[in-house]
Amino acid sequence: MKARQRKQNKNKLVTFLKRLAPFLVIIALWECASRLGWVPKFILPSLSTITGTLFRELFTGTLFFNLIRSLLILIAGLAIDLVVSLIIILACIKFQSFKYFYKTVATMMNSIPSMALLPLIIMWFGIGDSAIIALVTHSVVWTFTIYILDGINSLPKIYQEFADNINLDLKSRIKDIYIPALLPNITAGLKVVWGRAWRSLIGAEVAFGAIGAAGGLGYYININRYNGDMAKVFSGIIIIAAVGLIVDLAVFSNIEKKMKKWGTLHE
Amino acid sequence: MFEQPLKETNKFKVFAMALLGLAIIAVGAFLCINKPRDKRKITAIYEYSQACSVITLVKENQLLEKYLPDDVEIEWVMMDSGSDRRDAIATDRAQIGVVENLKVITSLENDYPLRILANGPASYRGIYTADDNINSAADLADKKIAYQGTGAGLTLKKDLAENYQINLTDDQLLSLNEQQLIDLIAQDQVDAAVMTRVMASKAMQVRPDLRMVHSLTEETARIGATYWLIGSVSYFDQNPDLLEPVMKAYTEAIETINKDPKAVAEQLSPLFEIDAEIIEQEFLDFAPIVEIYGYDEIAEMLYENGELDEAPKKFAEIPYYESTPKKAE
Repeated sequence: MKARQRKQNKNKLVTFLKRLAPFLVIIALWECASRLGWVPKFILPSLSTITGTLFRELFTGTLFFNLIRSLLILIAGLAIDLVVSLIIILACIKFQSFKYFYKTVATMMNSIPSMALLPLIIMWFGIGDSAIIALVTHSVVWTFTIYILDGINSLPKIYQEFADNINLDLKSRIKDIYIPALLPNITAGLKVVWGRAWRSLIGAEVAFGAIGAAGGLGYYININRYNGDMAKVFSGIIIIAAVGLIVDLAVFSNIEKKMKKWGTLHE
Repeated sequence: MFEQPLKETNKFKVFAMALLGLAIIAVGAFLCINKPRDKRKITAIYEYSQACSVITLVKENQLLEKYLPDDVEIEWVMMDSGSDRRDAIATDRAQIGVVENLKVITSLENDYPLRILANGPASYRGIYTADDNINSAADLADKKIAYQGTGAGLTLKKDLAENYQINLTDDQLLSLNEQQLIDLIAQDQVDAAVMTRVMASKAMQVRPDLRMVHSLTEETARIGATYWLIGSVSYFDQNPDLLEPVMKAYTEAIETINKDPKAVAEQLSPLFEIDAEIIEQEFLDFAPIVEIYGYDEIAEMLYENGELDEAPKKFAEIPYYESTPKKAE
């Protein structure tokens, strides 16, 4: 029994090392490329320099405040977007003609990149938080509502007929039929729009910055690019990627695990 | 022909042929891109703005053609971002261009391979507003002010702190590009903006009630916030004979401006889409010179302001100091 356990542990360790190996190779190559001068330091600072800068900037510099600012704006934007999306979805469920109109508009709008709207957004919302939230809204609402409406369309007809037969009111239909049946669509939609929102937010901050020193991660990257400090630029980029990974592991992976337990999502 | 599935050997042949075809295309493309040149090439960057007025004149008057040897092909590229211009020159994708001197100093501190070649024009700056409650710099204590470029921001901060005891906080300051700045001041989304005369002229086309309430001319001149002509280190190391002709072309453009600013302003006016009088006034306020000055003071100011993490190098310690034209202190 113990020997079997030991073998299993050994296998796990081998698998872990196999997965780790490519990262270690990349790290070693990166460090060599910069330290040995294969690539100029102003283009690719060494990983050790970037790591040192990252920690220094997180704990004593402005990176932490910029991160918090970006996250707060993102949370505010997503909260607004989910409320707006909910209202649109309810309107589409209630009024079929609106649904057809909305789907056409949403499909058109969904294909416009946020940055293409930047000149208009600046004219309408000015510069700063409201403009960034407007851009995040654009990248979230159309996609999310399309995901949910497509999910509603693909629901088995029997659900609808069942609800009709027992005369379920709209509230009960949403609570007892749509939400449980649409949970995979909602999760997948949220996963997609979270990524889109995060990218739009950073893109908007890079494009027009914000007020003062705490202008968000995009602003942090932009201002350090201006000064030619690539170690700080890389630090900002690493934080952006780390936030993406943490949100995926802490939020979406947990939701997906629960859904697998409930049987609403398969392996 | 294709009714029967391809045999294994045929599949291999098709795959090998496809691979060979791709390899031929790749090699052909590589040879086309990297074909040996009969001529050397220099890429110069310009922009239709006051900051790039000297190099624009070099282009318009074909001064590189006049001084460079015949075996040098000249390419002109337009780039309206100073950071892009710097990056293109640092990576040798372009060889000469004009960049704000504060940005050059922070870049040199971060090991960018840049060679300072010459000074350039500075820009007259003032604080403009359409707010009736702002009548002088003293009224700006709690106002939101937009500016473009580190030079403008530092000049504004230093001037108000030293002359009016107003310490502007980061929350009051907005760093924007030129068009955003004009849009926002026109829409009253900021209380005031630091603008060059050229920018103010554009802004007044959409907001005629804008007026200047404070001049930053003296502070800008005192600090020495100008634009420098920079060059690619590797290019001029490999082609040292081309440095002198480039400098001659640039110097002649500066001399032309200083000899007859009115004529040059009229020449550049349709390109910049700005009244000739405004361009001329800029030249009269800040006559461009070739010699570099104020490096150490600006570097120290950048360090004090937190733009540099470590104490900056002295001017005498920068690469190619000996060959950099210097103004006698």
